[in-house]
Amino acid sequence: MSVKKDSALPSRFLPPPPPEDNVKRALNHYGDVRREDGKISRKTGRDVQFATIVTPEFKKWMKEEAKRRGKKQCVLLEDMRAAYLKVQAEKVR
Amino acid sequence: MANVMVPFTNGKGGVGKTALACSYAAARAHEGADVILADTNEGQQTAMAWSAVRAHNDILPKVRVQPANTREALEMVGRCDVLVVDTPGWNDKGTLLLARKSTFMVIPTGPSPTFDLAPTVKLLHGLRAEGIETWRMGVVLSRFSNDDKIRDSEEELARTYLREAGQGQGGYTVLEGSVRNAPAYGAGLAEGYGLTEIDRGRGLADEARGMMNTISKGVSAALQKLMRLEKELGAFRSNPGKGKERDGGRGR
Ligand SMILES: Nc1ncnc2c1ncn2[C@@H]1O[C@H](COP(=O)(O)OP(=O)(O)OP(=O)(O)O)[C@@H](O)[C@H]1O
Ligand SMILES: [Mg+2]
Repeated sequence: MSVKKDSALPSRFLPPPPPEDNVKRALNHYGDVRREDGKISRKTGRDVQFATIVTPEFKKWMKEEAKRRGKKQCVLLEDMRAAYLKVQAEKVR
Repeated sequence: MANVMVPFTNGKGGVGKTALACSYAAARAHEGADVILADTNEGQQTAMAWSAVRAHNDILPKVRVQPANTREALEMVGRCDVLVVDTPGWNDKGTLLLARKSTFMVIPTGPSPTFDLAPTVKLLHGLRAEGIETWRMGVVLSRFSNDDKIRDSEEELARTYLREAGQGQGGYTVLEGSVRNAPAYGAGLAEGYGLTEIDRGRGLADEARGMMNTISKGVSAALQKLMRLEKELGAFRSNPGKGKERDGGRGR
């Protein structure tokens, strides 16, 4: 649905957003997500458990590296992903 | 008096949710209703601040304001006649939860098509898509121009905008009138007054009272509809075979 011809709105304004553009999205778009149990999950949307089996050394490194940089481990992981993707992209090329 | 829950919501910030929630709570308290105002804006707690300065200035009636998360706010239903809920300037699952359990949700919006009305329409569409009936949501035109002429044209534009947005959605409810953005309102709010308690000789209090009554009418109408639906549902549950009786108010 594009701009409606029969709109009574002055043409200098855009018409109201149509429902199909954003059904339900308006309700989980930004801010805290408060669940029915009243808990507030992460503002960042990082609320999924990520568990895997690693060596004790790796775990220790993750923990200390995150601490040293004053970051959460999830942020460090995301840094690592970004670095990985950069290297991979260069390799593909 | 029945227990009603009336949240004031709009993910768009600064549209007057807190001002209207506090004012509505005070207006209902003036009528003698037992009112609790739940402040679910944990970050700002501006309704709490309003009530503190209200107490500080000995303004009567006292309005009970309590900090709450969404779940706690929902748990307060039934503890008073009128549970008013002030919500933060974002939309989330809590918004939906409140909408589902509310009697009537008040959605204040400012006049700008681009900055106020568009996000308001997104919220309305979202709630509608989640099955919230349009008669349970009332848009209040809030913080419109203090200049009568400009306000008229702002109102006309906003009503046109919202009417067009509601086409095919069953039509969104836009409450009559508008709340002006008056310096006297701003000053009075900061001292702990509700909009109906602020006059300064310009009929501001009367105008605000008009809006509060309009909100109350929306709340009562929605309550009646909800009770009727509940009754029909109850009748259907106890006698699923012959659903269709419209009994015009027979007891349960
Ligand atoms: N009708 C009015 N006239 C004048 N000032 C107003 C009016 N309504 C609200 N204000 C002022 O505008 C500011 C924003 O209003 P308010 O805090 O009620 O908005 P809000 O929607 O609750 O914002 P938030 O999203 O941050 O919670 C406040 O300083 C308030 O005092
Ligand atoms: Mg507020």
